[in-house]
Order: sequence, then C-alpha cells, then structure tokens
Amino acid sequence: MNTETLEALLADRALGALTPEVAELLDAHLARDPEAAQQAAALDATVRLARETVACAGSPLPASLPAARWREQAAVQRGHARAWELSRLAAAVLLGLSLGWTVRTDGSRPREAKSPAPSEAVRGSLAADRPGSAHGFWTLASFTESQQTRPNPDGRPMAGYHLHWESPVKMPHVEGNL
Amino acid sequence: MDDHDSLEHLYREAGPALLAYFRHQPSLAGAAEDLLQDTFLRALRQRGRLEKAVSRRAYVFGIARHVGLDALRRVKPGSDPVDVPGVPETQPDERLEAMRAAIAALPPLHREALLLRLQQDFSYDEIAEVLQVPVGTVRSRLHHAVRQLRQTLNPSVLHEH
Repeated sequence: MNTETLEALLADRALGALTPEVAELLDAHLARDPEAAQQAAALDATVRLARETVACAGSPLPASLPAARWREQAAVQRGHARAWELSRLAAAVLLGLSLGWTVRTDGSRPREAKSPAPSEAVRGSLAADRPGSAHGFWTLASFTESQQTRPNPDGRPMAGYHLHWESPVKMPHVEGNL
Repeated sequence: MDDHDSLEHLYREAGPALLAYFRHQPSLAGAAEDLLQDTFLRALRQRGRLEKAVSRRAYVFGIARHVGLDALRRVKPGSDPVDVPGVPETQPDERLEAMRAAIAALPPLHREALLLRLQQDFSYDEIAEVLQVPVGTVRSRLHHAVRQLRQTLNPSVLHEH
C-alpha cells in the first residue's frame, strides 16, 4: 500500500466512512505498522475534536412555524399559477377565434386585385360617374365593379379578372380574362 | 402516505437541522424561518425529483443551500463573516477555540463538505447530492480539510484531555 492510498484510507477511517470489512483490514495493517498507527491516531483526534467543536443540536421548530404554513403558501401559489395558466389559455383561444373569423370572412369571398392605376382620361371620366360620389365616398369593391363593366373604347369589355386567394397558406390564382 | 404527509414527515425530520443551518449564517439568521419555508416550498414544487433522490434529507439540504446562496446574493455579496457553528460556549475552551479558528481558515468548499459530514452525518454520497458534485470530489475535499486541520493545529491541542 503506498503512502497516498494509506493517507486517504486513514482520513476515511477518521471520518467514519469505511465499510466494516475495509476498516477491519486497515486495522490489521495498522497493528503491523506503528508509524501508520500513530498517523491514524492523530487524524482520529483531529476529527474527534472537529466534531466536538461543530456539534450543535438542530433548532427546535417554533410553534409559529407549522408545516401547514408552507402547505397553505403552496396552495396559494398553485392557485395563482392555475389562474395565470387559465388566462393564457383564454387569451390563446380568443386569438385563435379572432384569427379564424378573419380568415373565414376574408376567404369566403375572392380577393380582388387592385386594378392598375387609371389613366388621366379615365380618371377624369371616373370622377363624373364615381359610384357613391353622391355621398362623397367610394369603395374598392364598387370601383372595381365599375372598372369591369366599363367598355373599352373599341367596344370590347375591359379586362376583368380577380385574384383568387382562399387562404394565406395556398398559392393565389387569377380568375377572369387577362 | 401521500405526498404532503411524506413531505411533512421530512419537515419534522430535517426542519430543525435546516433551521440551525440558516441560523448559523449571520447574514441569514434573521430570515431563517422564512428561508426554511422557501426551502420546503421549493421541495414541494420539485416533488418528482425529491422522490428520486438518493436521500430525501440530502436533497432538501441541497435546496436549502441554494435558497441560502440566493438570499446571500440579495443581502450583500462577500459581506458574510465566516461562522463556524458549534455548541454555545459556557466557558472558554482553548482547544475548541483553536479548532474553530482552524475550521474557519479552511477553504469554503472544504469547510462546507466537512460541516455536512460532521454536523449532519451525511454520507459521501449524500454530500455529493447536496453539493451537486461527484463523490470523488467530496472525498478529496474532506481529505484536504482533515489534512489541513491536522497541520494547522498544534499536536498538544489535540492530545489535551
């Protein structure tokens, strides 16, 4: 047994961490090695005094500190956590519903593509018979409708098409005469 | 025995030692009872891991150690004087004083492991659980601590009485 191993075993022995079998073998070795026995005795005395120095009884639990107190606190905390989870769930449901409603209402009618900006001449004629101009307002829908029904100067109907976009996750496609 | 009963049993078993553990740290002594409550609240939240621990008592000590460290960080870093808990002195004992000084002079990590061994009677495995380090590290720290105490103390101190 080398010195390092012996020192480690002696420290473990002093700290009371050896199994009975190992302790017995070590005691047999110490009986044959007086120098090691002396070293073991010094370590034992050191640890015994250290144990005596730091020995302290636990503080008795005061009557004002029953286990029920942290159990109550835990229950309150659980209640708060549950309320927080419920409010997050409610927010998520509301968000989902509003998104679903938006997608549904937008997806139920085909999206209309913006017509190209009308020329100056067209814009002038539009001003005369702009739908809803009597009220001072117009809408994109009424504007597009008027564009689609307006004949070309050569008599053919103007290009009428619209962009069909059912949902944001699908590719849009164009419907109508291009 | 349900979760609460088993934790309450642990509270009765380890509570006094934990309370003493907090009370012996000067910066934490005033808040010892609150820290004990925090410790068991955290234990309650970590019931799953607590049940799987090598030793429930060691695990809850590990939680207490973290609760104490968090509280110390809030108080004032580095302001805590080293206090070696021990029997209240009725009459001065030169041997105990010398040992107290020697223990206070140990590196903090070595002292911590030594106190867990000598005060709480934790096994090396349990100390490893408390400190979240390998058992070999615990063993090495304890060996260093014992060796340093022996070198520091005058042999006559050890062999008095």
